[in-house]
Amino acid sequence: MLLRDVYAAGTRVLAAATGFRVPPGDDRAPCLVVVDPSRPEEPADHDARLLRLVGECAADGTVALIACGGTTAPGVLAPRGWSAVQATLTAAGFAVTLTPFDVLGACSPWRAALGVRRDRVLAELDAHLAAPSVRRAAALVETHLVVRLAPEQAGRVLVVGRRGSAPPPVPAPSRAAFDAAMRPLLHDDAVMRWLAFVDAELLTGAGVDLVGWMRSVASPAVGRLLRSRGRWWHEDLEVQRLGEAAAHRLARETIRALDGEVAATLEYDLVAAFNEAIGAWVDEERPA
Amino acid sequence: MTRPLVFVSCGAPVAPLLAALAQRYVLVVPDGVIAERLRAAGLEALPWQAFADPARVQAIRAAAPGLSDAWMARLAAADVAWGFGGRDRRAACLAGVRAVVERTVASQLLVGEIGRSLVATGRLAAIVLHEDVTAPVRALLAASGAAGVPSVHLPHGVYARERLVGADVHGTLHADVVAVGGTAQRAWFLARGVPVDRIVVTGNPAWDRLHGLRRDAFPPLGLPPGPVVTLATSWIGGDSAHRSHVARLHARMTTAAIAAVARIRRVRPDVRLVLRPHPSAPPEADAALIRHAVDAGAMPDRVERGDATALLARTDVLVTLPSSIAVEAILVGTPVVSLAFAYDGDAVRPCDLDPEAVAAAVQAALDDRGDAFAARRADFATRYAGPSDGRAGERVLALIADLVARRAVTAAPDRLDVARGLAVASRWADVVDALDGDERPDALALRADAFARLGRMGEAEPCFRAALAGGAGAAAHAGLGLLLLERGAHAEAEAMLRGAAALDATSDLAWCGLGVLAALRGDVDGAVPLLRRALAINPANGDARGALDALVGG
Repeated sequence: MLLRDVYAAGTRVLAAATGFRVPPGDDRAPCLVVVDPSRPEEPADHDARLLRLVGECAADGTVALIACGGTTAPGVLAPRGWSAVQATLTAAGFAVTLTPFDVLGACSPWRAALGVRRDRVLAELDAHLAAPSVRRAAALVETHLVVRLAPEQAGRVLVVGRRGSAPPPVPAPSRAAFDAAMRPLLHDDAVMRWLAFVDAELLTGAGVDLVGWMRSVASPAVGRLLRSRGRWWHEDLEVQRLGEAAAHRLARETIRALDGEVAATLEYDLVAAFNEAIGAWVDEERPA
Repeated sequence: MTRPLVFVSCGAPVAPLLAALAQRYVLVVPDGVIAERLRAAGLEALPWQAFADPARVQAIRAAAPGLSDAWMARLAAADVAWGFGGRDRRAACLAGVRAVVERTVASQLLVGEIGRSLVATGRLAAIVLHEDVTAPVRALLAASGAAGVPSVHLPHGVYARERLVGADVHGTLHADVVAVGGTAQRAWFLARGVPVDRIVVTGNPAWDRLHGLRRDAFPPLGLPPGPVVTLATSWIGGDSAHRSHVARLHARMTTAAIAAVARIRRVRPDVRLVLRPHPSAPPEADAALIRHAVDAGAMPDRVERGDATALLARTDVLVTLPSSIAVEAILVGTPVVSLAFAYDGDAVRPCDLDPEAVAAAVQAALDDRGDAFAARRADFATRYAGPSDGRAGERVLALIADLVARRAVTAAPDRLDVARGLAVASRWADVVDALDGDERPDALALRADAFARLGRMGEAEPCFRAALAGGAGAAAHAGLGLLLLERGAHAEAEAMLRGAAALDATSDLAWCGLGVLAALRGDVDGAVPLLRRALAINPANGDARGALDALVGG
């Protein structure tokens, strides 16, 4: 998606056995736009590819490629790290723009920190992403919020280098547009379950106030949409639904950890206990 | 011949079935007082506690605290993300779980024991429930489901679409089949992924008595003349998210409804207001409800906790918070205004929490009679009460009979399964009898274990060896190992116990035996971790506990 934004007629696309698929481009160097579609996390001679990219770019041209995000400290698995790419392009006279994305992706610090929980948590993430509405919500988060993160916090980074009179990058969409697009999705059950997952697995300790944001974007106007679906809206309904999803998830996680037939029978009581606790937390943080 | 048993939970949809079920079955109920009442009414009924072995009950009570501690230790070490709202809530979450575990674990083990004992009788034909999510019911279903005892859930409430699909305890069916009231409830379960072949539209037996009811057959309420508006409150279950907020919301609904009646009274002073508390609300809440009404501007004419049907038949408009009383009212022929809750169809008028809007809806409903209302009412009845012909109970009874018959044909109980149930209930002599002549290795192993527990070592040892010769697994190795250990044949005992541990690393008997063996050889340092391992697997292992206490002190 991001590379496609850079692609234009006459773009030179470096061949890649796997990865991002774009139409074959004009192969006469130098080119105004040179795109490398290879996957940064896959083993390859990325240094050589990068030098070729630079060599085939016109004096007032643009190069674009994907690099791994996250930390680029020595020893960390990042076959093509964003900071090395940035340094090479800067040295070659490019003005470099970094657009982080894929915050839950393969090279993200979030995944790296999962440790032994990795398989289970990623399996749950995959199950959430099976819902089209969740994929829409995740795309909104990527294109509106993740692009504002530091490259260290993302899984991958779009690196665009411009030389001479190449046009500047398009600014990220506004936060208001994100809120407006997300508002109806907060009443999609799959999205709410995914948000409870993200809140627990990604946002805890990150200083992101999901509850406060939900309260800020909630609107009685959404009631009309809901009423057409035979549902009702009331103040704080979104937060209540997040709590419902979180309580259920916490109960399920508890039962999984206890791993026994008797533990599974306690689901109702565990959900009730977590509901009670979450209700108190949400009340504590309610604006006066 | 001894009559078969049926477990019944006795909630509103199940209660109308009891007399018919009692003609064929002995009723097993979850409470001694209920059993007394049923017996007083001439129905043969037993409390489920009657099926608990007193020795096992005592053992469970003794083991429960240790199990709670073991669970919490496991949970504390588990890799769970305990976050919410951007903050780590680990301490509060663990405290909440501990409270649940300590409060429930003994009773859950006990219900499981009762369930297995009921199955072991070989007489439990079916389980009929008005709720299949609460902890005791889940324990019963877990114990009985393994033996193939069929179960039917008759939901007693109206489930809200607002409840999150995939995160709602009611959205998972734990019984085999759910007998739903109508198409609305069927769609609700389907939307939550319950397979279509496990949902049967029967109607709700609790509403059979409303069929063909004549409104004028009920005596007047004894109020001064004037149209009667009844306000029914709701109930907020433990599984409701953010209960304090929902309680505030319900208070706002109540205020809006009462303020609406106050407005109507300005132009129609003869309008009567009756308050109907939810049956689950405690009686002491009535005074607060009256104060609430007075504060909101309308003095109620009555608080009515009596027969709901009689009240609804004499009510001109019911204003209700989310509750199944709306369905009963429509079936009785009373127009309903629902606050901030949408029912399927057009019979119930949904309304915002604005006194002006509620007043307008109530006034429109007061005039809502005739063919148009009758048509909307019939449509609503189909959605929520199925055929609405007064025969829902018959259909549910037929469904139960069908499930029982199918099980009898397709799943004659295997005697090894029966013997396992008897073993869980510590009925060792019955295990020996049940498996007489059964040459399957697992049957031989279980019979050998029963011989050993009865002290019949001379019969136990050849039985264990026959089981092992036939390929029996870890249980036979561990059983023979312990027998040999007791007899002093330590070398062969060790080989057997090590074999058991290798075949099944979760065999607490094997680790316990190896621990005792090490202790007998004077290797205390080696014995202690083995015994602790056995206890970590099974905190109720009394031999491991006793040996460990002897080695390191209490």
